[in-house]
Order: sequence, then C-alpha cells, then structure tokens
Amino acid sequence: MADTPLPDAPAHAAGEGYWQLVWRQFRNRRLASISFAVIVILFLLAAWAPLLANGKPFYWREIPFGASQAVTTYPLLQYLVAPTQEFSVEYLFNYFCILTLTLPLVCLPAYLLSRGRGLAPKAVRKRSTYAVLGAFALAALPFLAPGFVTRAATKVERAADPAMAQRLKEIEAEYAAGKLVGEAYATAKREAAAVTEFRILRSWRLDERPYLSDFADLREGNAEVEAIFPPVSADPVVNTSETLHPPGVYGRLGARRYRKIDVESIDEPLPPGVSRICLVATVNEISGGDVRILERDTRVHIEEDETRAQLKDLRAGDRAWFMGRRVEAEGGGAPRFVAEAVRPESRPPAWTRHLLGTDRDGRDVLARMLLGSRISLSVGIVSVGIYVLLGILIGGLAGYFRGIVDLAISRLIELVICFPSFFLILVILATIEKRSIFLVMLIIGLTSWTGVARLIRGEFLKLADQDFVHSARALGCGSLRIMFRHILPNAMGPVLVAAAFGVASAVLTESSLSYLGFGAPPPTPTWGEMIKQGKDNIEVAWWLLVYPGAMIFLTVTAYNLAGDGLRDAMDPRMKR
Amino acid sequence: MSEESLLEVRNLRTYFHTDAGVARAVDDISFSIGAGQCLALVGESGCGKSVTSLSIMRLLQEPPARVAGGEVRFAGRDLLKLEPDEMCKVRGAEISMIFQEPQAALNPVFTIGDQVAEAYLVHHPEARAKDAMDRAVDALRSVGIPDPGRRALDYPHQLSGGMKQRVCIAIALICEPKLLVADEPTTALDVTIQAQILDLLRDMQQKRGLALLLITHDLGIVAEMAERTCVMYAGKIVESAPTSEIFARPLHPYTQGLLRARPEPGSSLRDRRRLAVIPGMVPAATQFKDDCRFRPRCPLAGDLCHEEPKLEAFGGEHRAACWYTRREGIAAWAEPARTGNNQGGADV
Repeated sequence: MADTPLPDAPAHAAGEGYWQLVWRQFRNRRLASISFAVIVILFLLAAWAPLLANGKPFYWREIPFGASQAVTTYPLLQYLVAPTQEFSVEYLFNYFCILTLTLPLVCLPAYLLSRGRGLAPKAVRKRSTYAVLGAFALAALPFLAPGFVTRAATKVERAADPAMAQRLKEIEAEYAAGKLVGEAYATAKREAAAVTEFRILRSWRLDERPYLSDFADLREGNAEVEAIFPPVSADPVVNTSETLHPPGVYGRLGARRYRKIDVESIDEPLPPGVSRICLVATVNEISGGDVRILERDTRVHIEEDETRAQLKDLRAGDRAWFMGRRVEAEGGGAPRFVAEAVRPESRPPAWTRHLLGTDRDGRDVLARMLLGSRISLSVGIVSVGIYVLLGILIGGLAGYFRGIVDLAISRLIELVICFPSFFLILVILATIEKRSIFLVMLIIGLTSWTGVARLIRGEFLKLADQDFVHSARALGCGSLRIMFRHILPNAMGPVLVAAAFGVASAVLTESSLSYLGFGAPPPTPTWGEMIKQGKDNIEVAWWLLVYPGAMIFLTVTAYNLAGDGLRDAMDPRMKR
Repeated sequence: MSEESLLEVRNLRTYFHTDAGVARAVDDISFSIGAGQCLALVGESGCGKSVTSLSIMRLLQEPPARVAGGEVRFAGRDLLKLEPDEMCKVRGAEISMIFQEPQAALNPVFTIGDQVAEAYLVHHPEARAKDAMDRAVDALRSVGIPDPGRRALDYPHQLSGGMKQRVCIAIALICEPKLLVADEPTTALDVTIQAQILDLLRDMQQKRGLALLLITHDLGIVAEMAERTCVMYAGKIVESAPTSEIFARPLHPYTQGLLRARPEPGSSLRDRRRLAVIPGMVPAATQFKDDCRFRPRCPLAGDLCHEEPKLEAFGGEHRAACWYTRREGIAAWAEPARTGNNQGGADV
C-alpha cells in the first residue's frame, strides 16, 4: 500500500497549527499589532513599577536609635520578595519583574554556549525550553524563602558608638553578676540609651521609614540635595543613613545616592561639611517668617518669599518637612536653620522633576500611575479569568449534556443576566466592611460569566454534533475528556475575543468603582481613585485628571482593538 | 448462527421518540459477523444502516434515541447491558469505528500524530507520551502515509481527504480492535482514492484478522469487499445472503430494484437508456406501518403484503422477507422504469 503514489498535501507552511495561523493573520493587521504592543508595554511597566516609581532605595545603612550597631538593609529587594500591601497582585507583578531579570540572565549564557555548535533544531528547542523553565524557576526561588532573602540582605556592623556600647556592656555585665536587678537594670539601660537619644532626632521602624526620596520629592529641581551631605562620618552624634535609589521617574531615570543625617537640634554642632538639613516636625506656632517646632524648642526661619507665601496654609499641628541650610550666626552666636521649602503640595508637570506633576500630598503622578497600572491590569486579567473559567464550566455543561441540564442552566443564565450587575457590585461592596481589590475582582468575576457561558453553550451545542466528537466517543473517550480536550479547544476562539473585550470592560468597571469610592482602600493607587482626586481639584490641577484618564482610555482602546484584530484574524472569511 | 461469531445482533430495535411520533429507525434486525469476516449493510439513505452501527457502539444520544430491545453480543457479552464506563473500554479497544467524512472526523486543532497517540493513551493510560507517539508514527506508516514522522506534526487541514481517511483508520486500529465498523468510509472520497482506501481496509483485514462491518450504499464496494451482505429497507433487513448469492440471485424486489438501478459496465451515454429507478421514496421513519414496508413502491405488491413478511430461508444462508419472492419478478421492473417516473429515485 505504501508504494501507491499519494497526492501531496496542500501547500501550507509545514507544521503550522491553527493558532500559528491566527497569530500570523493577527500580526498582519497594523492596528491590532500596535494595540498588542501597547498592552505588552503596559504590562512591562507594571512589572517594573517598583524599580521605576518606588521611593524605596536599593540599600539603606543607618545606625538606629539606641543601638550600638550599624545596620544595612536592602529595602527594594525586601519589597520585591515580600511586598507589604495588596499581596497577590504585588507578588504576581514582582515575580514578572524578577523574571525579566532572570530570563536574559539564564537564556543569554545558554544561547552563547550553544551557539555555533551546529546543534540539531530539536536539541536547540530542548535547550531553550530548559533555559526558559530554569529562568522561571530561578525567579520563583526568592519567593519561597522571603525570610532568608531578608536576613541575607541585612548586614549588621559593629557600632560606631563605642562609648555607649561600652556603657551598655557594663550594664549587661552587672546584670549578669546580679548587681543590677529588675527596675534598676531597666532604668540604667534607659539612661545609657538616653545619652544617644538626646542627640538623635528620631528613629523609625523599618516599615515607616521616610526614605530619602520622600522628602527629596518635595522639592523641585533639587540637584543640590545629593551634594549636601558629606561622606558618612564615624561621628556618634548623628544617626546617619545612606541610600542608593534605583533609576526611575524620581531621579529622572538615573540612579541617585543620598546621605541623610538626622540631628536633634539645629543649634547642635553639626558634623563638618554638613550644610543642609532636613527636619520632619510638627508645627507649633507660626510668627512672621519663623516657625516654632513642637518636638524641640526650635525655631525655623523662613527666608525666601516664595516659601513664606506657602506658610499661610500651614497650621499648628501640621506635620511638615523643612529642608534648609544652617547659617552660621555672625559674631560666633548660635547658627540658625533657614528653611527653603514647606509642606507637600500639588505641583504641575515639569521636565525638571515631576514629569506629570504631583498630587496634593506631593506624590508623583507618574509614579502613582505606574503603581496603579498593576491594580487596573490585574483586575482586568483576574476577573476575566474567573468569569471565563466559570462560563466555560457552566456553559460547557449546558451545551454538552443538553436536555434538563441545559434547561436549568439557561434559566439560571437568564436570571443572572437580569441583574444590573454594576449596581449589584455597588450593593455588595457597600454592605461589606473590609474592602479590598480582590473583592472587586471576585465580584466582577462572579457577575459577568453569563456572556461567556452563552457563547460556550452555543459552541458546545454546535460542536457536540461534529463527527470528530462522535469519533472521539467511538474511541472510548469519557465525557470529561471529550468536553475539555476535544471540544473546548475548538470553542476557545470566540471566548478569547470575548475575553479581550471583557478585560477592557473590567478595567472600566474597576475605575468606575474606585471613582465612586468603592474600590481599593485609599493609600492604594488606582487609576479610578486618581481620577476621583483629580475631579476634586479640577480647577487647580488639571494634570491629576488628564493623565490617569488618558491611561484608562489607552488601555481600554488597546484591548478593544486587539480583540477586534483577534476576531478578524480568526474569521475564516478574512484570508490574508 | 455459527458458534464462533464475533458479533451477534439479535432482534435489535432502536426507536427515536420525536415530536412527530415514535420513529422505528431500526426495527427487529438480526445478523452476525464471524472473526475476520466482512459483512456489508446495504440500503438507500434513511433505511437505518447508520443507526444500526451507532446502536452497536451505543453512540446514540439518549433521549431521543432508545434501544427498545434486543441484544448485541460481542465476544460473549451483551454490549447493551454494559455500564457506561465499561462500554468506554470496549469502544476503540475492541470495536472501532470510522466515519463517512474524514475531514470532519479529525479534530482540527490537534496534529494528527497527537490524535493517533491519544487514541492509544485513552486505553493505555499508563503508557508514556513518547512511546505513544512512536506507536502513532508506526500506525501512520502502516496505513501507508509517507514520511510518517514528519506528517505526524501536520494538522488535518494540511492533508488530502484520502490521507485523512488513512489517519482515521490508523486511529481506529491503533489499539488493535477485533471489529471495525466502517460507516460509508469512501463516500466522501473520489473514485481513485476510494479504491486505495478499500485496498487498505482489505489489507488490514487480512493482516490482522479484523472483522469488518461495512455500511455503504455502493454495491460495487459490496461486491469487492463483503463476504456476506444484508440489505436493509426502512429499518428492517429484507434480504441477507452471501454476497455472490445477492448478485446472482436477488430474491427481494427491493434488492432486485437496487441491482437494476446500477449503471451497467459497458453501457454508454450514447445508448441513452435511462437507469431503472425504484419509484417513490423511503417513507419517513415515523410513518412506518406494520405491513410490508416496501409495499407502496413494490411492483409485485398484492393483498398478502398488508401483513408483515418474515425473513425466510431460501436455500442455504440466503434469506429474504417477501411474500412474492418466489415469482422472481425481475421482469416487472422494466415497465415502471420506462414510464419516466423518476421522481426521487433510489440514490444507489
């Protein structure tokens, strides 16, 4: 039989499957390709958000209050493997962020090693599969043991305060010898530490540290900030910290090194070379150009007119950052602290510092938009993922088993469709105390599955009568196998298109919810929440409204165009 | 029937319960196939051939279909009484089936190698995917697909119709079943490919001792392939005999009509002789009555025909169900054919 001449197969690219064909046709449409590229870029930006738009430094070295040791930590690394808020969303994108580092790290050497060896295509395919899998595994490793990473990234040095260390040592020795007991031991320890406390303005717990960028951002074009601090001195007088920030929108995409020295009082003799000081303090009283500070009886003199004008917004009890320089008094008197900037405020976009301006709290709009893209994009993906799964399951059951099952499920679908889902979401969110972004995803997912279920039901009804399904059954395949392995891949086309449109509408829904105040709780940046803030300040700060709005528009349009392109690419009549 | 018969169908009745009434699509039919034998089931469209095969495989959607009675004994078991999951183990492994349209019978989204390998994996879940793929390539080679290693990576749309039917045969045979049900395996193919596929089927049958239930309306194929033939009309077997007997001495007027409706080899267009037709159409399955179902179209119909005839033996294994069979009324066919009443002729 084999020697009988057989007609040749039609001329197709060898081994080109259905989805490869669809992909080729998709790429042929310009608008769809651009939209797809936009979506990919949005996702990459979301993945890199902590690097691009996070105030957390690469490393942070400080001598904490009361300690005789210097501690170096890596806050950015810690954040990447163990984010503190919005757990899963951040985890997911942080994973992708690390993946974008490990992929080239693993694949490039693998490529260089196997290049020019004349390997068979099969071996090359095998190697590249291993390399990619390896990169994925490598990126997942730090997440398995975040504690280990944190500990490994924390370096403790012996202290730079030998006097206090000595005193503490003595106290411990006395305690061990039984000379100091109970209350006396505690008092002695407190007193020993108080020696240092007198000199140090404040120490922060790790999770509430105001990293340098926090106040650096308050200033516009503060090129001097980098230069104001001398190399870390061994002087025990001050709590020094040194940070290195990643390149990002704060530093106009260049890495920046900051040194920060906290001092107790501006009258204190400062370490040599220090000419600029930052104060984070509570305002007590304002008189003329002077501000008295609550914590210490310190006077801040405001010299510049521009800065003085901002004083009128300042009230007693406000927390404010004071950035200024020490002026040696003439005739050997006590030096004064002259402040140059006060209080966070909304600044318009400028090339020099904040590309898209800042909001009322002095937060960078671009940075918040980048961080917010994580929420908005993941709401789209996760909620659509939930409802596509639900829709496939429910619609598949109805379409495959027909009869009474179909009847029941179809009525259920009609029932759910009758609810105006947006108001249902509002009602549910309004009754729930503890809101989170996951709740929003879950509710969108649980109320929007009907469309997909109907699509899948129709496809299953159509496909279940096809010969290849009969033939699968004639082969002895069970119902589950036929449903999900044989029918489902054939039914996925319209579902994918619906999903692309669904992501767009989910992004819109989430933005609407945030706009109405039903989204993620306040400190979490989301586009909708930013628009809400923009609406409140529309007369004074147009940039708060325009940029997040443009971002939503861009995302929704990109998804819709990509969905359009996908539909056209899968349409058998659109041969190209 | 003989003791060693592999498949024995006894008094099988398959009814469809529709809004228009009960359709007795298969009504009380019996036949048997011995190991390695080929049995052809012949008849025009709508006479219940395919329903019979689907009933044997239990592939009909229930409801509306219902197997109302009878037995399908295969290798000592009654298939109709098996649990659904036991039946799943029989399908593909012991009885396989190939369908009329190979392009529809292959899943468009998987490579043919995947599909052949899956057929193996369904019944050998412990097998490794790689071994299954090796077997799939072997199976593709054995059905005469050139360069099977590369072809296994092709998708169905890249193959021609004949190649696709070969793939279907490879899928059906990879678990080495004892019986292959071929439901019009060549109808969708052009004539030269038909011959190749039939050669392949016969080859497989001889090599593997495969029994074949061949469902067709092409008498040429029957003559070439089948050892025994059952002629079905309106849900009943009207004649059953060794194939040579059917062609040499058709007893039932319907069989006679079918044979006359064939184009004769050697008859040319210039001859301008119309092909003989059987007047009328097969009645809708819901309209079947308890008389001889061929009566409205039969040139020999008489009073006796209001009662249902039984299959009776007419020497040896030749059996027919007709009251007037003995008259050998072949001559009667010439008249209605000439009247030009060719509305809805038999599609044979």
